[in-house]
Amino acid sequence: MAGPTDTGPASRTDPASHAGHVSRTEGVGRFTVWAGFLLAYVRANLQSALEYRISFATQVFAMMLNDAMWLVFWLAYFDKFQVVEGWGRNDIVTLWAVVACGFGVATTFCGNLFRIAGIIVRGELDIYLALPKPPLPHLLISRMSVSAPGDVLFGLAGFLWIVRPDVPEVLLFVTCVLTSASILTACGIVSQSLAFWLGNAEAVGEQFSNALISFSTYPTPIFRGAVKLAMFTILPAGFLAYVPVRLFQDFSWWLLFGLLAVAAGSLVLSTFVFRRGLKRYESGNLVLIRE
Amino acid sequence: MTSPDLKELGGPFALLKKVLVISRATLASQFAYVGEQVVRTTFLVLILYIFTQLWNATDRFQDVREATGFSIPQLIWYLAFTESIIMSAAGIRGTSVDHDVRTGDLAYRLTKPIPYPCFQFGSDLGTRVFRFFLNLAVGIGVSLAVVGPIPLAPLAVLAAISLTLLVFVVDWIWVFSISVLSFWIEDTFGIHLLYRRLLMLLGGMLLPLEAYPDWLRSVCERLPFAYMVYHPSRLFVLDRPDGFLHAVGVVLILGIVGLIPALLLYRLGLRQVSAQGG
Repeated sequence: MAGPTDTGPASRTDPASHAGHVSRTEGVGRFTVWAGFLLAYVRANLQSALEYRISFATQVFAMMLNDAMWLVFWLAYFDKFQVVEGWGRNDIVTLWAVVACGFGVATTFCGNLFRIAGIIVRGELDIYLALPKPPLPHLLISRMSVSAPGDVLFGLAGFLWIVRPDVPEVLLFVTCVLTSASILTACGIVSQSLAFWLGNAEAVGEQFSNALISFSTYPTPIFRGAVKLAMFTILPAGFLAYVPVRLFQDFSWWLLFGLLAVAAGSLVLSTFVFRRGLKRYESGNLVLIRE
Repeated sequence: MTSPDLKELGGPFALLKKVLVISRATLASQFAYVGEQVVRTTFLVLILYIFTQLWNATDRFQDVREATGFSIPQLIWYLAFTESIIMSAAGIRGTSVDHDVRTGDLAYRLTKPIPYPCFQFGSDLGTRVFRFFLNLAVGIGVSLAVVGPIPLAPLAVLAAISLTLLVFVVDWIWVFSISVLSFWIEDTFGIHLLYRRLLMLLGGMLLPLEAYPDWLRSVCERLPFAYMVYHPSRLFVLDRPDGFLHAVGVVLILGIVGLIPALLLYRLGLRQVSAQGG
């Protein structure tokens, strides 16, 4: 990885300078500027990860195996117990594929998602506040989870290999992955932004993320009462798991539009929460160097 | 460490004494962070709740006892024990050995009057024992709340805990072998993750081997992972310590075999260390 004073190859891949160049190009719209900014970061993050190729390959492969082991667990479970509350083998595979892929997409592009609380507490947000791009998206995309592509590859492979979908089902799968990634990102932003109010909220954010992922990777119908209500409100695991599987079981346009609305609404809400929290942020006056 | 016991030099007994002193000191320091450790047991509470729901839902369609040989309360108490074993382990994001190798702190620690692996062993064992008993206490509390008590046989519980403590020693040896790979690999997260997941799945963390389909059960029975998780936990919920000596024998063999890569890799890794200045 290039050091802070290195003006060689690192400066040629500096995402901020690349995005600045794009923004100056005549006739290029705002969307293109953001896409260029995102792609520049993806390229820089990938180059950084590939600097340690063996480590990168090991982590991606290990994450795929990690997910595959959970899938083997569920296949073994459904081998012994054929059905749980109306859910069968294909339903649990779809659920795991959507959640793993959604999590993978979210943390591949937004690798700082579950680090926001720590960044706030340590006063490291200063770096992003001093740059011209809005701090939240910049903060999110400036890092990539090295193991996350393993989740994406696993989700795709598992879904295509075991469920054997047709073309409309593949399109539905891609849509559900994008909504899951959006909802996970929004939940991550909100739970991590609690650090603006609570101070050291790293443990709270971690427990919230663990709970969200845990509840979204088990068949939703096994939960009842208040827990089920929570899964569609404060801990929206139901929108990550239950609704996508329901769409595959019994497709409805209304349900799909509802899911898209929840995904978009959660992103808007999370941005609002972060902005409100940012007003409470106090600089640490630290001299910081970006990793 | 400033304990006078550590300044003594000598043979294996003096070394063992030093390791125990370090374990005791680490154990004592863990009590300073009980609140933080309790917060981290939230996940255990969550998993026990989820599995209670899963087993109850499954039982509505198929008799769980007939399929697994365990009642639902036994399955939950079994899970509390397996989770306590797995959750007491160091985080997969890297052990302190990984950290010391990556940051170069190892060079400083090598100057201590105790071999580095022995120091780490003492320190890690103290932490793990503390976390295990804390998790077990929380797990038992949650199990009592969600499924009620089950009859426990004192001799079987004693056998389960003895075997678990031996498992911690053997597990440390294998984890140390993975961690010293940091001398050559930038990040050992992937290998740690893989090892932990093998322990979870093939060790029978979520389900006892009796609940696995025959093909997977026969695979698990031929591999060592079940001796690290399934066997101690099974002893905990059964009324007799059946198979205790056999499990102890296998775990001891695993430990002795594990010492070969651990010591070999450590010695080779030390050749990579170059320290200069202060």
